[in-house]
Amino acid sequence: MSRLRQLFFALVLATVVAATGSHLLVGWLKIKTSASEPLTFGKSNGAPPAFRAGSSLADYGIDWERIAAQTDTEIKAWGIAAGSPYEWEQFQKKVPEARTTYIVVSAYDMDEANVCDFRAALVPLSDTIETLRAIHADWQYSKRALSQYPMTWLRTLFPTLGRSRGVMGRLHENVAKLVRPSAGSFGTEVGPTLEVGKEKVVDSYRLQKVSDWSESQIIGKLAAESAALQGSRSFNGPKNLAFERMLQYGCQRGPTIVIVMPVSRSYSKEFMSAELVQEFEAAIADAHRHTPRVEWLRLDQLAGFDSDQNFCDLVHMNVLGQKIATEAFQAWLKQIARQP
Amino acid sequence: MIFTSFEFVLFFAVVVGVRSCLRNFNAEKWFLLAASYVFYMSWSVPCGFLILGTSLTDYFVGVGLGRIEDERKRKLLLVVSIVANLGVLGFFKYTNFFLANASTSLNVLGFEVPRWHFDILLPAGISFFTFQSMTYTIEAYRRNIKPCHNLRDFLLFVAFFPQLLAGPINRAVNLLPQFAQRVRATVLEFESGLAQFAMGAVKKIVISDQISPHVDMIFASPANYDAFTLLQGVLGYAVQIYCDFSGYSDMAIGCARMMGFHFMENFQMPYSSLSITEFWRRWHISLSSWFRDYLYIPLGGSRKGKARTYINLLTTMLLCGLWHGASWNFVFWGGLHGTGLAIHRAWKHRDPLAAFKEHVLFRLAWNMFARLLTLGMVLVGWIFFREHSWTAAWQYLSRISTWSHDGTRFASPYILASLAAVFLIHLVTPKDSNWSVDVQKRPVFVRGLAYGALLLLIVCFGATDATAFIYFQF
Repeated sequence: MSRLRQLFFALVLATVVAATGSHLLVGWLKIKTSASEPLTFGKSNGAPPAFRAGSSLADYGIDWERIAAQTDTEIKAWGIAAGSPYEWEQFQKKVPEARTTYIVVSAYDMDEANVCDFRAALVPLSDTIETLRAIHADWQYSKRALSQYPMTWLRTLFPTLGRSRGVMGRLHENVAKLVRPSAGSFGTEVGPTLEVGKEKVVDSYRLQKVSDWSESQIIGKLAAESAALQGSRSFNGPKNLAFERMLQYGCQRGPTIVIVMPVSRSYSKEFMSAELVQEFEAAIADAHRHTPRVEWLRLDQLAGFDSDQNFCDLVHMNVLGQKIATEAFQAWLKQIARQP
Repeated sequence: MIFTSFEFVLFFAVVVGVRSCLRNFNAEKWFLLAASYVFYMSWSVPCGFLILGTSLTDYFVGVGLGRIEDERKRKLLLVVSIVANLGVLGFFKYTNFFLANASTSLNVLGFEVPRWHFDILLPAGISFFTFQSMTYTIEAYRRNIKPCHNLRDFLLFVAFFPQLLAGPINRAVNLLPQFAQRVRATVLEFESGLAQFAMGAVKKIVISDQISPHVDMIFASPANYDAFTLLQGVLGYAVQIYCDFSGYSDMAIGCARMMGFHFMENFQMPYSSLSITEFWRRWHISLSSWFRDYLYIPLGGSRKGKARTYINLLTTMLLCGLWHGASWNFVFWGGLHGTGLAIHRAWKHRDPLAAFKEHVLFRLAWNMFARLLTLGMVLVGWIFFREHSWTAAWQYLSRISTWSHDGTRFASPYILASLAAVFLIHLVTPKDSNWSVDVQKRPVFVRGLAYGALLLLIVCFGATDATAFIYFQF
């Protein structure tokens, strides 16, 4: 065989080996590779459904079945891990019949440095280019946004590409389970790749409390999170623009409710400087001003959420947190309903 | 444009593709030169003019050195080149360092002066391209190389994109002649270049980028951690900087080889060195040999007696430390290595244990001890290299040396796994082997599997975001 043919054969074999390994690993570790997953809460009673936009924080933080039951409305949503308004916006128009809109945001989702793994799979390239033009994005940001597209295409061959955090977290968990089968689920660094909305049975992951973690565990999570935050931190970029567009669209159709979710104390302490908090609040205030008809529920300002006790990881609420948040939301809905 | 980014892969593919289509040799070189400047200007456009300026100075100095026979005038030309290169380097890299030290000294002497500081942008790779350019004028002065009369070739020698930002610092003697004749990579060279590039990418994005957040966290607040964690932090940094820099070098060498150019190797299993002298023969080889050939030997090397040899070693390493950064930490780091080199030289001169080394068991034990001692010294050096201040470095070191139990114990699986992998590779791989070349002797099936394994590591464990290489800051 000529050397050129040998090279060709070696490269084909290498690609086959890597692609097979990548697919096998995704299967074994059960890593989520689909960009979105339709979710329905409650049952249809013939009335127009409600639309809910939110990331996994919305599912971990609020029991939407209870909300659907209380409002007697079917709620349609899409589970998008680590999603943000920039991705949710694509789904809002898929439920044009919806009257009520719930948008669940947090300082984690709205942070421009926290990029959804599935953005390129959900948002058309033309939309991204248009947004980059509209915000006069610099080269660094544009590069980051655009380079997600070839990565998405390459993921057909190598589904683990760019998902090292999820791979290592799950691998750590699976190996530990193999070594100690009796050990329950414990904190991984999988973070946003966790499946959302499916579990009806509360898993042990959701039972844990960040406040029970060792300092070492918290340091490990914070290190992983800091690696995941890419580029400069900001609350005034494409996500915020998309958020305001969603609010305007929602208001055109009916009641629009924004729920601002808290993040754990450890996360806030490490990643939310006073300037960033101020910027986040300014973004919220701007949205408030531009769409005055929107109702706001600030769960992040609820007493009791300023501890790690209500979180099962840095940003997701545990069952205890979900109970408190859901009850607070239900009480608020009742109060709203009583208003003339 | 970082080697591990999509844009570089695209850029490189275009460069290789267009170059292979160009029939005219001159057009090919103009194209490579333009591509190199585009690559550099993607970091900073004004800095492109800086590299052009220093290159032009050295080109005309070289032309002058070729024409003038009078030794005094030749020396003057060399001084012009050295002053121009070191002047540029000094201005951009050391102005604030010297101003800060000057203001501190004046304040100590009782003069009340403010802390002077200018906002000076440090051009990427300035320490590398100025040193590379100087190899040309020094060698031309020594008449070891014929002065280059083709401006385009000389500009390409200084700015050739694979080595521009962080070396290897190629010698004019090796690289310039490669631009004089048309070179094309053979399939074998292309494959070995690709293998070396892939290995470099694994080192960078699978190891270095993955452990850096953990290492950064430990070094950010060492007072919060116990001695075990701090030791893990410095070991992690040793792995991180090795994988980062040798990964970059592998990718640079691999890129060049895929185009048919040959660069010098920059790393050869440095952590398995038996002495600090050997360490410097294996770590950043292009820089250490630069300092050896253009500073240590001109200072007298080992030809002027023992005491002078030690002083020369210390001077060379102090300046090597300063080359890395404008901070006393780097100077101390260099001084530490210089002292280590001097002590090793003195020990080797006497070698009181020479007789025992004939016994196999003793030799084995001694080698193990020597390896640990060398590694220990290198690790101490890394603390000063990595820490932001002198005080912080001492505190870090004292907490480890007293085996402090105060603070959090944090075991990072990433650091520990990377540490195990790197040290295992150092242990089992022959010191002078070159994987990317050796693998070419294997059957095609084995090569395919080996490349597949590297690709699998990249697609499963590669860090998502391309981060800059540590040595870009130097």
